[in-house]
Amino acid sequence: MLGVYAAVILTSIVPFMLRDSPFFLDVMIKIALYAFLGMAWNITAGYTGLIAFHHVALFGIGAYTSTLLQVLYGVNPWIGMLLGAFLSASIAAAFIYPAVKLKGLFLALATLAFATGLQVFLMNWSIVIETGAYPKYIGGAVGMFVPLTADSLVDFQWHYTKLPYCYIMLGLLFLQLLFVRKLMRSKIGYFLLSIREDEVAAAHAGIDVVKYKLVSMAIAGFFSAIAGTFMAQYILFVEPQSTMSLNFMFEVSLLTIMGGLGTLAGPLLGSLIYIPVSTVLRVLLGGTRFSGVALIILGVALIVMTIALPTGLYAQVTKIIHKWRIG
Amino acid sequence: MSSRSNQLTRNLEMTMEAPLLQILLNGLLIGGIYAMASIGVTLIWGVMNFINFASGQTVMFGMYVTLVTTTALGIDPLIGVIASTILLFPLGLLIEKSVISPIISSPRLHQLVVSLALGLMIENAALMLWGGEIMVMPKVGSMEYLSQVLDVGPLRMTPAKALPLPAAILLTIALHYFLTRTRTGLGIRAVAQNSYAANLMGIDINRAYFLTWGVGLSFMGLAGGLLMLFQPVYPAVGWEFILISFMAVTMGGAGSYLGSLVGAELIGVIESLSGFFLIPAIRQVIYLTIFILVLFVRPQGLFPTKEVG
Repeated sequence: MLGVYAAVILTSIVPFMLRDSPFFLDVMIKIALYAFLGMAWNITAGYTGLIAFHHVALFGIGAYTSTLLQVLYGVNPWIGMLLGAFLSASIAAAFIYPAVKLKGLFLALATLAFATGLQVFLMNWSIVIETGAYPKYIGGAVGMFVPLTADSLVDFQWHYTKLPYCYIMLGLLFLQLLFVRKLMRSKIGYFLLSIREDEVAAAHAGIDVVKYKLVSMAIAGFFSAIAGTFMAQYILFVEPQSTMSLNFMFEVSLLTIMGGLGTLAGPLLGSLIYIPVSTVLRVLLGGTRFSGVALIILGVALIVMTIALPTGLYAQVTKIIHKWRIG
Repeated sequence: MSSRSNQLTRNLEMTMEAPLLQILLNGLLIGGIYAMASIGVTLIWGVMNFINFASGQTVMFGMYVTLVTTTALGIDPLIGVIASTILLFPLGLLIEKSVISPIISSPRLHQLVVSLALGLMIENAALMLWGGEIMVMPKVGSMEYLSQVLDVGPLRMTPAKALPLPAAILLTIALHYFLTRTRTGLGIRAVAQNSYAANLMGIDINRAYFLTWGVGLSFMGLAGGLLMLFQPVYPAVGWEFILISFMAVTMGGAGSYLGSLVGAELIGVIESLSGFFLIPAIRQVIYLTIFILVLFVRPQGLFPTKEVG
């Protein structure tokens, strides 16, 4: 525990030290964001054993909800974030309900179809906000801009510095980790794990499998949407192509698996490794042609790891630390 | 993504004489394309119970191979298609030996991760090798004939687009013959039905898997090649086919070749019909929704042949 507290304190100093470098702050924000999303995915895949890939769609729902509410009705983004999170959780639960009996792969396919469908839908759906001779559209493939305001915490926007974003994301991540830790040590967490291990046995033991699958999905949806709103406020622009792409989803899933599926530190570990590597590669190689090199390396690393280290890096690291301690 | 997939059906030319018939024809032809893309998936799924998440990317790779061999060697595009089919066989063998074999008995999630990683690797390798711009097969050799629009009676079609359907049917028949009449084929089916028992009977399972993967990939190469004759290629095009292939295979019933053919045709026709009667842009959403509904209601598909999980 002491190590964790030390890590937290260190982590809170680092952004301040890097405050003059938007580049490094951006990297830190990305690490935290991917770790946050990774944990959301981890809740369904790692702890509950549900192989699902629609978290990007829920991410997008969060981003779009808060942005639309801002653009159309001037709702404060923080409130929009909460509303988006609840909406996303409900949609996640609603979608899973008929899908509870789908086994492994079929659930993955259904969620992929859902994510793709939503992306396509949002690419074609636009709202007219001013009718008349020259109607003004928002949404669709072109995307939506978040209305710009002056730098403020209330409006969740800063234009000249990334420091507040960094702290907010780290704070969100910290809160999420605390929550998940608490969750997995509670009865609910225990039930989720039992679903992962053996659904049939869990049902026979009297656990309401359907209900807890819904709970797991809802929590994941909640977190994904929060991340979505954050992204919307950070980039100040939402569009279906990049916000909800499957590549993004797979990046998040794969780095979580690499870090260690079903562990608390897994997503963060995976993110800590993947994001800097991918950023460095992108900077070194540059251009769109090489934008996927990090993914190739991630792919190779993952294949090697699945064959050699199926439990993920975190398990391996703890094993090494353990040996080193006893040694 | 939808604007790009629109290119698959962008030449929906409706004549005044028989619009509905034309739409059905287009749907059938598109279904043939989807069927071609799905055969490789069915083969690998049926025999090895392995869901190849990299299938879309392999088809894409086949497309690029066809394009590159045609333009670099100056040969006829149809020869390029054959080249793609042949070249992807050793690639399949290589992948099986190096990547698939170690994880064949791993839990489902691991298999998924590995094939996903493989797919992403192939996609980004293609991006690196050939760039992200959309490329089209140049009008050389047979392409001049294949790319023109012909009028056959009241209907209109492009020969290039009409190739995949008969190819898919022929391939399905050939596969059926291979799997039921030849020794190797029977061996592969035995492995598919019960690998343990097949092993006990003296069939080399590893060799069966090895060959299956090679053949599966070469089918995908063929599919990619035929696609290249009318479809522009870019690294991300694989994703369009993955979902549709899995949909076709699932709806038809995992493991059944006839099923995946029927499933693919169904999707093609539904897509074409909904494109006409509803908003074209929503076409994808329609069949994705139908897929989700099918999964909820009857996940074993139309011709269920085995337990898949």
